[in-house]
Amino acid sequence: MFPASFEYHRASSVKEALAMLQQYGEDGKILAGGHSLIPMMKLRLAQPAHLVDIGGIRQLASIREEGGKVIIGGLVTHHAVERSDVVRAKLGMLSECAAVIGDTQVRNRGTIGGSLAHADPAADYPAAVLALDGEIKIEGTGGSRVVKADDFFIDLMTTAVQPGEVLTEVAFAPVASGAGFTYLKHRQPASGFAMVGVAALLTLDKKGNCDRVRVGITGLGAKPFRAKAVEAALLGKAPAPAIAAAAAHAADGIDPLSDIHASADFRAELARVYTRRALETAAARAKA
Amino acid sequence: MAVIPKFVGERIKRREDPRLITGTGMYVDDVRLPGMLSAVVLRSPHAHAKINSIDLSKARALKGVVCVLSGDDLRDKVGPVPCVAPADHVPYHPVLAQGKVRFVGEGVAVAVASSPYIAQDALDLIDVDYDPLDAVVDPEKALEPGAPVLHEEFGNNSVTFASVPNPAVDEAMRKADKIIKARLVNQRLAPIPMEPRGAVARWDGGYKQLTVWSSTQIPHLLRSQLAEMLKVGENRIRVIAPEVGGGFGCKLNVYAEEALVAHLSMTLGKPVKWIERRRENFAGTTHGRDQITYLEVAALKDGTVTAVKAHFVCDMGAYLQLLTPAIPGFSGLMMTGCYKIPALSFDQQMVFTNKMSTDAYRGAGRPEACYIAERVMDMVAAEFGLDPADVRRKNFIPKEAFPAPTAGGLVYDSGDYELSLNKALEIVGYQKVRAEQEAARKQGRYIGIGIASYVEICGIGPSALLPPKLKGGGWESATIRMEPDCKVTVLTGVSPHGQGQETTFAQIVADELGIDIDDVNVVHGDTAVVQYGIGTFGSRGTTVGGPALMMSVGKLQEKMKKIASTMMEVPPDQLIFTNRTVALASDPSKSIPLQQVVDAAYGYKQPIPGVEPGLDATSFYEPQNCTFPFGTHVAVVEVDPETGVVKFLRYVAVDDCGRILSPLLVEGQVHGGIAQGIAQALYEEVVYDESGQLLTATLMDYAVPKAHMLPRYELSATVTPSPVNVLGVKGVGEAGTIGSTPCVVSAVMDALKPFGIRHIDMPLKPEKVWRAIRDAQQKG
Amino acid sequence: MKLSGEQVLSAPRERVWDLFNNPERLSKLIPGCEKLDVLGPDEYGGTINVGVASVKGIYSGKLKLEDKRAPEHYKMVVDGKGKQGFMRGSGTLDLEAKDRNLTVVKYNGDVQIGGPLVQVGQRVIDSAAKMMLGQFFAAADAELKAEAAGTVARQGIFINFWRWLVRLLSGK
Ligand SMILES: Cc1cc2nc3c(=O)[nH]c(=O)nc-3n(C[C@H](O)[C@H](O)[C@H](O)COP(=O)(O)OP(=O)(O)OC[C@H]3O[C@@H](n4cnc5c(N)ncnc54)[C@H](O)[C@@H]3O)c2cc1C
Repeated sequence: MFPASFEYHRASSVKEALAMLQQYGEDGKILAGGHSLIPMMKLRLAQPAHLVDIGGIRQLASIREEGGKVIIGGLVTHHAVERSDVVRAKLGMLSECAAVIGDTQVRNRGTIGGSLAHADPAADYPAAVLALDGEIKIEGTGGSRVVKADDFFIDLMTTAVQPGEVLTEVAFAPVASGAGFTYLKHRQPASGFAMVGVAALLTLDKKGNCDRVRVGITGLGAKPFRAKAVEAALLGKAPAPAIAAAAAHAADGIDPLSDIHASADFRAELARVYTRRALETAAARAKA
Repeated sequence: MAVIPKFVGERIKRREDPRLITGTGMYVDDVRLPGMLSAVVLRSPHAHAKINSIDLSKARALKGVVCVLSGDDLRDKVGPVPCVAPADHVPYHPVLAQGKVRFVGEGVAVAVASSPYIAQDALDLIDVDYDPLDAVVDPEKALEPGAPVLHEEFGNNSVTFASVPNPAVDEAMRKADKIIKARLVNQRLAPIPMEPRGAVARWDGGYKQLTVWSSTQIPHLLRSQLAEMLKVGENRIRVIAPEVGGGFGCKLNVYAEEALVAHLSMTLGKPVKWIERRRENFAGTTHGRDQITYLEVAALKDGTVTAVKAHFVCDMGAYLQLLTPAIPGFSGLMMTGCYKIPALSFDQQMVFTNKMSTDAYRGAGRPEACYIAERVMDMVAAEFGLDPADVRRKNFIPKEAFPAPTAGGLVYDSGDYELSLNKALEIVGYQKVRAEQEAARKQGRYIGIGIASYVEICGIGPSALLPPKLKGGGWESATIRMEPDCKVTVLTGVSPHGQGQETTFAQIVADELGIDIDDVNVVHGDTAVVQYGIGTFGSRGTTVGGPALMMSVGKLQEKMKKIASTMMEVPPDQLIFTNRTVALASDPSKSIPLQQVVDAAYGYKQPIPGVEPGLDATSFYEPQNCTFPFGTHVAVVEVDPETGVVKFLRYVAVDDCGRILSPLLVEGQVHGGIAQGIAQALYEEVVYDESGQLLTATLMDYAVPKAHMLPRYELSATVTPSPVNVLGVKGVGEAGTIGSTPCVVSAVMDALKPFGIRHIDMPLKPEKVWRAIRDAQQKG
Repeated sequence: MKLSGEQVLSAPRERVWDLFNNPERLSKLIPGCEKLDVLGPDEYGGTINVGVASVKGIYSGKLKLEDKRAPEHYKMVVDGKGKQGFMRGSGTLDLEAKDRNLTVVKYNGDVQIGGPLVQVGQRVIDSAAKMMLGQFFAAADAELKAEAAGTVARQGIFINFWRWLVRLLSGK
């Protein structure tokens, strides 16, 4: 495991990182937790000439509350998200999700920014970030913009982040009290990534009908997505009888991935079953 | 003075562990020598291709590169990679491919440079012009006419066809109430030691001395083979197996790279290191299993099995490694398991395919055999609607029958199979679990109870059982030396790499000599220090190495007693060793300190008639038979019918490895063994695509189980000493692996019984289970 | 790896045929390809430059067209290699005129991908290949539409195959 030679640069601010990225252009690559990039470099499948390490940019590594939102810096590790009191109290699903990413070492190094920017089709976070309506802030030399999770994942491992840009933070509105949620994952047995991962969140109105439903699914298709057909089928209905029928739409319109671990039709079936189960758990936890 | 306790039978922690868990053990990659160079091997991306040309010029020109060689450069310089097991077709196996590549990962060229980074850069500059050929991956297809032929000189892909006929089988088939047929697959597995392979070689030209550090299970056998490959005298080669981070059979071998670094060091005059990367380990270190068995079983209505007939197709891969074609034989011979099945016949077709060679992997032939025997018992139970435990009882070799000759021609040493089954069922609460299963089924939950009673071969073994071409037999050696300060050095011919003989042997010696365990140092794995030995494999370390040690201990004791007898003026046979003294057996308070005896032997100021100075003894022990450990494993699982996921509810293992010297170590071996056996049942599989590309080349795709994928083990034991050796031990290195695989499969099949499903091939991945349920539901 | 399917392109069959037989135009549609050299009749050679983003390296390959029956059918044989892997295979293309301005392209191929790329990235190879095909056809459609409109299609809406793979793989 001997990577090709490269130059290492450490940025101390977002501004400096952006300048470095501009300078090295196509030869430059951001290094965050390194848990996706470095294995590839060791296999020499990736051979960036310049690594811009953003690991030292302090302000990207904090979780804060501002303007009624919880804001998680791009460099916050999976472990920090899992353990944060604020996240636990206000975005429980996100900490539940962070807790099942990889193993302890991975969670201690991997970052939310890296995971989202990388957009592995089997990554866990995207499902939860979709279900929580996260807003992703991207900074470039020309300024910054905010992209809704729903618009962030464009295609297989393609996101709204352009080369030369830095994903600086993800903002979430706190989950309504009384909401029920869960993140349910079927692990690929070797890698531990999601063969299928379903993030489900629902709130009930006074009559006990669903007045907000969010289902984010990862692992099934080329990109993570919100299962809008499932959401629509459940909205305004009482969960108990409607969930099974709604969950049957989990794989609608998706061309599922297929590999040695699971064929396309098994993945689709897993998505339906896990969606139903995730919604059942969410419903059981929700308070009218 | 404090009384020194006894150590054998106590729960002693492994004495090798402190250095391992504090990072102070020394592995091959820790060997750093002045001027050392790094070698990296370029590997074939093709499963089957003609090599038109290899351009090394750009690589050779790179700064820091010392040398770059391809297979043609080594013709006549390094002998072929050896296979000592007999086969009709033993292909020439060059250390680097010559003219043709036959599997993905085959070495094509080697670059040597001042650092592995530069060597790797050099590989990127090598241009190989390949002409891809059609590949054959499926061993049954490889036998069809028109299949691509790997080794043209043989005309086809057959390695060997071996047949053990028996007319009594046909007779039994005629009389059977039912002939049950099945096709069982033992899938291909990768051994995955935590430490991949690696070798460092240093040639000292002035002394004409070659030192090779290798992560191997067999330092002496490796020395013999290297001598042959390199044409250097064995007395000029020193092989050191430093800390070895697991082997599981894949390091019971001689590999191209070991000879390669030695040759490079001899020609370059500098030390050369090669360390295997994980991807190379998946592609280029031997795999295990990969057998297809077509079975016919003659059974009577009462569950009695009267005959078993089998046809095996065994995938050997592209070349034959050290013992490749010898492994399947064990599967055939052991196929009748713990059962008094009177008639057995089988034949084995071994086949070349465009894959890595198979060879020994934890259990080596016996897991396959046990899997077959236990599937047979379950199929018979299912066929006649009998309880699988009863079918096993019906067919067990009774305890009175030992030593018990088997239909496979072996003689099992000792056993009480029913005792072990009963104990396991009692621990699990068999009747209660069956009732729970019944109740669960009514709620649409699918619980299954799996049973596997296994017997296996350990302590291999009488030398005649080993391949004729193997240098060295089935014996083992040990030297014991009482040093002048009363501390003991043991030199054992086995080469432990996780088995813990530094602990067990110290326990034995401490007890036998009445000294503290800390007074004993067990040395192994260095051919310049240790007398010729055979190595560690087939659960033989304690079973064969132990008795060898006991012989040496006996010789040493005899000599010390003689000396003490002259000093104490009592006959030697009345003396014992206790509490660092030699004492009178009838009255241990009459004693002299051990140190005085040792001083007399080394100082020798007063010559002792008939006793030479010094205090050491060496022995070579040739076992008269193998040992046959056995046991019963019971698993309770629940299958999620919607996802096919198998969840463990209970796992009970009752193992009988004869006398237990070190309970903690036995449990450790059983734990690891069960994990690997469960891995075969549920998770692991080496996958090549149709064109021979290896699709499980990293740990992200090859599913080695993590702790959360395994059950909590409930372990117990029965103790049936082996009459074969003085220690009464049987061996326990592989038992867990052998019992657990069929046990888990049995449990899953039992859970799926309501669907009418009788068999699914391993690994029982969720998708396969789900598909079987879905198909059954659609049919029903 | 088997690849088969069909795509509808917005141009008459003859125009599609012309496009698929024009190395210069075709080269623009092949991900990462800069130019196709004519090696002989219906035989082209080219290099795919993957000096994109973090990936260094050049993949070289040959493309041969066989069994040509204008304007409806040919067989394409590809053979390429680079340091991280190789690709070999063949496939057929059949063009059916759906109506005056629409052509159905049916493709059916069998490609073998080997080397470290597939060893490390088996899980994404299929989807990546599917995606690349989709992008190829999208580019072809854009090119044909642009041709009809008398403009030049903007290249680069798709991402080169290797770069895809490498990005995909780095999820591991
Ligand atoms: C053994 C193992 C198991 C794993 N298991 C799982 C799992 O179960 N589930 C799961 O979801 N993930 C898993 N991962 C992936 C892990 O979560 C990674 O950490 C994560 O995907 C990438 O985050 P990183 O900070 O390590 O990114 P890096 O590897 O540093 O970067 C990844 C990519 O994103 C870019 N990038 C990084 N940060 C930014 C930023 N702020 N702005 C713009 N671009 C950026 C980099 O340039 C690079 O291209 C596993 C990884 C390993 C090694």
